[in-house]
Amino acid sequence: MKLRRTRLYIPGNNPHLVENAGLYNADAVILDLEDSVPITQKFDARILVKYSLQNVDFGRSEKWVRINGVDTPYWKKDLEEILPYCDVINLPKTESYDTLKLVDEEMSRIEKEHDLQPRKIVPIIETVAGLINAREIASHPRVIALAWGGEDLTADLGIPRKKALILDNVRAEIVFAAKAYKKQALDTVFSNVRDMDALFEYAQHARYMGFDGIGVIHPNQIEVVHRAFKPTDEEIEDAKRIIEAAREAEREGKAVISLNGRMIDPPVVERARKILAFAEVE
Amino acid sequence: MPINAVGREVPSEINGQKFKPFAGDMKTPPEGRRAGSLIRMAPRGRSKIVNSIEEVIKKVGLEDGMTVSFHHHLRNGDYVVNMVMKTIEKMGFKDIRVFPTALFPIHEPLVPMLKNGVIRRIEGSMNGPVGEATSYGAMRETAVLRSHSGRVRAVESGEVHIDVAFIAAPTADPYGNLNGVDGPSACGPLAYAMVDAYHADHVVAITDHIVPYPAHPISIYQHNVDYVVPVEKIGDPQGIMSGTLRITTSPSRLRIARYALEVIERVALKPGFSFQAGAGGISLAVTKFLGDVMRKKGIKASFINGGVTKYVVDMLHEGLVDVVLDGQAFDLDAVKSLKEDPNHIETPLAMYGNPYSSGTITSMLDAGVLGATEVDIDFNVNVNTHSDGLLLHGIGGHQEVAAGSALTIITVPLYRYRVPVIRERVTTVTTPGEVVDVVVTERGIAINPKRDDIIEAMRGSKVPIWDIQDLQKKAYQICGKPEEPKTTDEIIAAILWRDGTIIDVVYKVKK
Repeated sequence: MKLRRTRLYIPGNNPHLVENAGLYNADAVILDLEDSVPITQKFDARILVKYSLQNVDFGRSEKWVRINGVDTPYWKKDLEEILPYCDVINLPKTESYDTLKLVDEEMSRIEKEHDLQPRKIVPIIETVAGLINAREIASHPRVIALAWGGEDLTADLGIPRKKALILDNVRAEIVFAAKAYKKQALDTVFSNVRDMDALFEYAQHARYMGFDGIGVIHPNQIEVVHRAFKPTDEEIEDAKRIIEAAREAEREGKAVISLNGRMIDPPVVERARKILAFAEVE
Repeated sequence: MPINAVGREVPSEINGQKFKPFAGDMKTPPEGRRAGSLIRMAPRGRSKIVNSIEEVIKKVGLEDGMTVSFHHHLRNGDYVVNMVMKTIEKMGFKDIRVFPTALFPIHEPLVPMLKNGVIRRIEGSMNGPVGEATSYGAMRETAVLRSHSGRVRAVESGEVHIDVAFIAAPTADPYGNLNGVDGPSACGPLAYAMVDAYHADHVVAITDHIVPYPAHPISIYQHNVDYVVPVEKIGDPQGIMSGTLRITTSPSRLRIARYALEVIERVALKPGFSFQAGAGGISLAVTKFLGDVMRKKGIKASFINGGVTKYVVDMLHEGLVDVVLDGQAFDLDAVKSLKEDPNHIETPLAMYGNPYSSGTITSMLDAGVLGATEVDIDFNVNVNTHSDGLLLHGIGGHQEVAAGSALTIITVPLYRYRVPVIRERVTTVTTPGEVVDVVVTERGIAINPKRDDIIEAMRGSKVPIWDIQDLQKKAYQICGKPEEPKTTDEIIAAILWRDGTIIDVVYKVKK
């Protein structure tokens, strides 16, 4: 299982930040061409991101690019320039399956032209319409995870973000939609880069809501989030016992897995696998 | 010119005085006897108070060509150097040799005196404008830079004789007992000035805080002080103290600190170990993280040598370390602790690191963390010049900590402002690679190949370990090959190793 506990947003127009982006062991690095890049710098940022993807060592981080939305004149050119060099397209303001089809067609064309393996998409749900269509969106074969954006969504709902009472309902909807199609669910960023205790709590909340990761906007947040997503020793030990029982059942050709006289269902084994993956235990 | 042990061509004579080329650390044995000062006599009950600097200069009999010394505990808040030198200029003296422990940007008023003949040369660290002006050729003779303890050695050996020492004293009594822990300009220890007080022919204390006899505690004793001059202010507290020093928040600098910490943990950390780190952002982070690890593992250090900051003082008061040895305080917490805690001890600079002595604190260190402007593939370190050749920093205690500490770690970013810090050849050698053990960057560390024990200790660590050549190539790959500084063949400064041999020279920079 590919861990996506942290995805580090890096403005695509800042060469200094791009250079060091791979140093911090984020599970993914997102070079952003969308909101953090002013309209006057869209062209420059695209070129910078294209060359960075080819020349900068991103270490063990997956290489994502947040392109501009399909409602802008930039997204096709973004794809054209960067698709050959990145792993995942982060697609803002995804509202429907049709949005994905549109982007999918363009990606397929470029992939064919460059003879590329199919790239993945992580759509960002940022509107009420997108939220309503989240399950359909999650079903698209290119989609590996669902992310969501709080600022735009609360604006769309017409409520101040800080006072919004609906956010955990939104979170639940994202998690259900993603998990129904065995995709990952990714929570939004925590924007206070100084308060590490609050970040830890936020990340743990996300974890127990069912998310697989959150967005981070500063490298110093990464270690804290990884710690928050790390299962407890008890969870790890429990998971190890379950996996061992499953292996034993397999060795002995048994259809039913049992541990200490208790029957273990396949989803429980799956959860144990996930816990060990999060604990980074082989 | 002879080639020294780090491959640099160096002169055998500077300002008419003979110097040996650097031959390797501890390879040039000391010779001779310690130098003395003029023997003086103070009549019973004589008042040592003199009401103006001009009057005191007359009393000590300053002459053209003499050497005057200063200390830098007041750092960038110091008024005393400018006050004294302006008076010397006004009184018409020429060809003065200025022998400070260090100068700071606040001492820029000395630059015109280099040009108008009042000052013939400066022997001391020059941080900022005075160093820059010297780089462009403003100084008539050649500057000589020594480390903190190398300066002590120079005075003790007679290499430099001080005619008049002017000592900024945050507290003085009328009979010349001095300390730095009280008064509006409190700076903590007076450690830098002690050697000047013992060895100068005349010693003048300049103070803005007179207390009744006897002042206490006493850092510099009355029998070494000839005159006390009260002035309105000796310094600006804003520039003397750094305020609350902050740990770096830069993620790449924090990464450097974490890597350095892991090296210390694997190589040096044990009950009773000793440690030195400075007041830079990375050093503060290393100190704090080290405290966290010691707390978690229940390890107590025997002493920390400083450069003392709040972070060190907190460790002392928490019981993570038995004793703090203090040559310089960086914040008010350090000053307060020095005043109040008997386990916080002021140490003379001779004890700190003078190699020609019967033993130094720095040679007792288990680990030392230092910075640099550049490091090269032979592990040579530059702390004096920038890659454009400008002389902008002093040596500080870099040489003695690097040479003395059992584990010497240099923490540097791989590059700054797209100029490689790890390079094929440093612009100036301050500290030779033979005394440097580990270079730590945000991309990983390089271990000096002669330290098999460290290579072994780091086995299994997640810290990326590189050959230093590969780190240098990485820096060049990101930034391109750096340009050579544009210099002439005129030597403007000599960099001495702590034993008084010449390790490198600095050349005049073309405008």
